[in-house]
Amino acid sequence: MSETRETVFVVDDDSGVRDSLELLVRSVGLEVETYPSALDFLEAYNPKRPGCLVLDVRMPGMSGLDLQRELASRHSILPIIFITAHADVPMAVEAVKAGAADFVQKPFRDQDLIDKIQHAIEFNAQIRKEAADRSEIMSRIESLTPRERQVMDRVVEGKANKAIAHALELSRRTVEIHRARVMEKMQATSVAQLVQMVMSTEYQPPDSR
Amino acid sequence: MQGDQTAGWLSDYRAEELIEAAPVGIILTDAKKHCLYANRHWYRLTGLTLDSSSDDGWLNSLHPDDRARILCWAPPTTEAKEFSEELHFESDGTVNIVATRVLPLIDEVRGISGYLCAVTDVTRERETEQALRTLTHDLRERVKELNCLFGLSHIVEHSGGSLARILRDTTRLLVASWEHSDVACARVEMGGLEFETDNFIDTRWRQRADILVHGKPSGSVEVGYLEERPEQDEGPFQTEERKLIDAVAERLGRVTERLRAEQRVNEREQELRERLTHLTRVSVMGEMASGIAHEVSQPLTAVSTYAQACRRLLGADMTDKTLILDVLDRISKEALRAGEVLHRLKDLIRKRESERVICDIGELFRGIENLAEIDGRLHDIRVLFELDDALAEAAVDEIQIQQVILNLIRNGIDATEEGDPQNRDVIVRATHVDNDIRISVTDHGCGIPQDADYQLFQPFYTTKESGIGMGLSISRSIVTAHGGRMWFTRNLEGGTTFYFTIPIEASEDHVGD
Repeated sequence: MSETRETVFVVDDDSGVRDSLELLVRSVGLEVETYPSALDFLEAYNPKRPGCLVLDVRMPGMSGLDLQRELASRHSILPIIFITAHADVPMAVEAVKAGAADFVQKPFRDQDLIDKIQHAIEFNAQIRKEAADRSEIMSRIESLTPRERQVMDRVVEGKANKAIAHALELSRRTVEIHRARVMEKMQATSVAQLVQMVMSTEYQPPDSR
Repeated sequence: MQGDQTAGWLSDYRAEELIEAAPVGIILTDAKKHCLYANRHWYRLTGLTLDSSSDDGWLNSLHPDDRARILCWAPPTTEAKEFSEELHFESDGTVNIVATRVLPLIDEVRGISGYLCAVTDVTRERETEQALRTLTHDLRERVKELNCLFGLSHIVEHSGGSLARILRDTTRLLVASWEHSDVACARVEMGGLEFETDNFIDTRWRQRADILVHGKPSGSVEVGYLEERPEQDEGPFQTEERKLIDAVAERLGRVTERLRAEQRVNEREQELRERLTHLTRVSVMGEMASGIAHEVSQPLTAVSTYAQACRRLLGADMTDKTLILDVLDRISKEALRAGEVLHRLKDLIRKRESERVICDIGELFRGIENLAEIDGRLHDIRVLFELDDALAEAAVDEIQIQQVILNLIRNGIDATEEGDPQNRDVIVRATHVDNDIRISVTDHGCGIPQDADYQLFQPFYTTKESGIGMGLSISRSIVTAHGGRMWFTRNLEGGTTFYFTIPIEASEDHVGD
C-alpha cells in the first residue's frame, strides 16, 4: 500500500461493527483497512503511513487502551479515535488524557464519526508536515560548519556582529561573511525567521561561553 | 408264697364287689356292644342310669360320631389288642367326656365275644384345653388389632405424605386384621379419594365407621365379609373389631388433618422458594447486565452504521444495487443477533413455575454458552466449555439448572477479577460419573477464605458489594431438589472449583407424585 495516501485503520473485535465501519468510511471515499484485534494491527503497523486509527476500547486480549500505550511507546503520531459503549465513558476519558484524538459513543451518528475521522486525518497531516519541516531545518543546521553554527547561535541569541566578533575573536568582516552564509544555507530571509526556524526544532545550541 | 398271700386277701372280697368299688368306670359288653354289666363308677362318669344304659341304650346317649365309630369296632379276631377312645356322653344337656381303654375279649370258638372298657373322666381337662384355645384365639385377635394400628402408623410414616397411598394401603391392612380375613374385604373413602380391595362388594355382613376431619364427616372406613360367619357381638364381628375400625377411622381423620396442614405449609414454602429462585436469577442477570448491554449494543451499532452508510451510498447516486441489497441482508442479520441475545435473556428472567422435563443436557448448555461468553468477554476473561460428547438426558428444570451454571460462572468471573491472576480462563466441564452428570466450574481467581467453608452456602452470605448473597444457597437447594449434590474444592494452583451433580436416573423419581 501507498505510504502517502491517508488510510483509516479500524480495529474492532466485532465483525458486524468492523464491517459496517469499513462500508461507512469507504462511502465517503476514504481508504480503509480493518483488523479484528490489536495484535493483528500491530503486526501490520507501519509508522510512516498517514491517516488515523478508529479503535474499540473494549476487546478481548489486548484492549484498545493497551494498544494506545504500545503505540505511544513507539512514538507513534497516528491519531486515535476511540469507540466506546455507554458504560465505558470513564475509560474514554482516560484514553483522551493519554493523548487520544477523540472518542465516539456507540451507537454514533455517521456524520460525527466522519467529521472526527477527517479532522484526525488533517491533524495527522499537519503533524506530519510539521515534523517534515523540522527535520528539513535540522538538516540545514547540520549543513553548517562549526564556525557558522557558532555565529548562528549568537545571532539567534540576539547578539550584534560586533559582540559576536569580540566573543569569537574574529574580525567584524569575517563575522559578516559567516552570517551571510548562515542566512543562505538556512534559507532564512530575516533574523526573525531564522529564530523561528531554530526554535521550532529541538536543536540545542552548545554552551556559548 | 406271695401268690398265696394275695389269694388270701382277695378271698376276703367277692370279685363283683371289687369291680363295683374300683375307682375307674368299667363296662362289659357282648360282641354287639350291648351292655352286659357296668359298675357304679361308670354310671357316675357317664351320667347314665341302669335303665338308660342297658342293652344298646348307652350307645344312644353317645355323640353320633362316637357311636358310629364304636359300631365299627372290629379288631383282629385272633389277637386281642387294647385300644383307646375318647367318648362324649350327653345326658340332660351336660356333656361328659371320658377317656376309654377298650380290651376286646376273644373266645376261641366265636372270635370276639365282647369288650371290656375302662373309662376315666377327662371333662375337666378338655374344658381347660378349650378355655386355653379360646384365650389363645382371643389373644391372637388382639395381637392382630395391635398389628393393625401399628401397621397404620407404619403406613403413615412411609407414605411420603401421600394421602392416597395411606388410604390404599389401609384397605389391605384392614382385611388382614379381621378375624375371618379369608372372606374379608374393605373400602376406604375420603374427600373424593376411594380405595377398595379387589374383592370388595356390598355385602350383608359389614362394619362401617365415619372419618371425621375437624369434626366434619369426610369419609368412611368399611370392612365386610363375603360369606356368612358365626354370629358374634355385632353380627359376625367382635366388639374389639368395632373398637378397631373406630380407632382406624379416627387415626385416618387425624392424619388427614395433619397432611392438609403440612400441604398448606409446603405450598406456601414452595411458592416462596420459587419467588426467591426467580429473584436470585434476576439478580445474577443484573450482575451480567453490563455485559449483555454491550453485547446488544454491538449489533445495534452495526445496524445503525450500515444503514447510514447505505444512505450515503444511495445519496451519492451509487448504482451498485447488489451492494445495497447485500448491506441490507447484513443489517437484518445483525438485528436478529441482537434479538437473539434479548430473547435468551427473557427466557431466563421470565417468572415461571418450576417444571421438570426430560432434556438434553448438551442442549441446555448451548442455551447459556453465549451469555456466559459475553459476560466473560466484558471482563477480558475466557469462559471455556469442555463438555463430554453425547451428554445423557435427565429430567430437570432446564432454566433452574442453567441458573445454577450461570451463577457459578458469574462467581468464577468475579473471583478472577478480584484475584487478577495470569490465567484468566473460567472452565466449565460436564462429564459422566457413574449414574450422574457432574458439572464443574473452575476459576484461578482469589479463592475462598479458609474460614468461609460453612457460611458459603448459607443465605445472605456474600463477599460481593452488589450481591444479595442468595446465589449459592439457592443453587444448592435447586441441585438438592434434583437429587444431586454441590460442593467445592480449592485448586492447588489457586482459585476454586465448584461441582454439582445431576442424577441421570433418580431424577425421574421426583417427577411423579
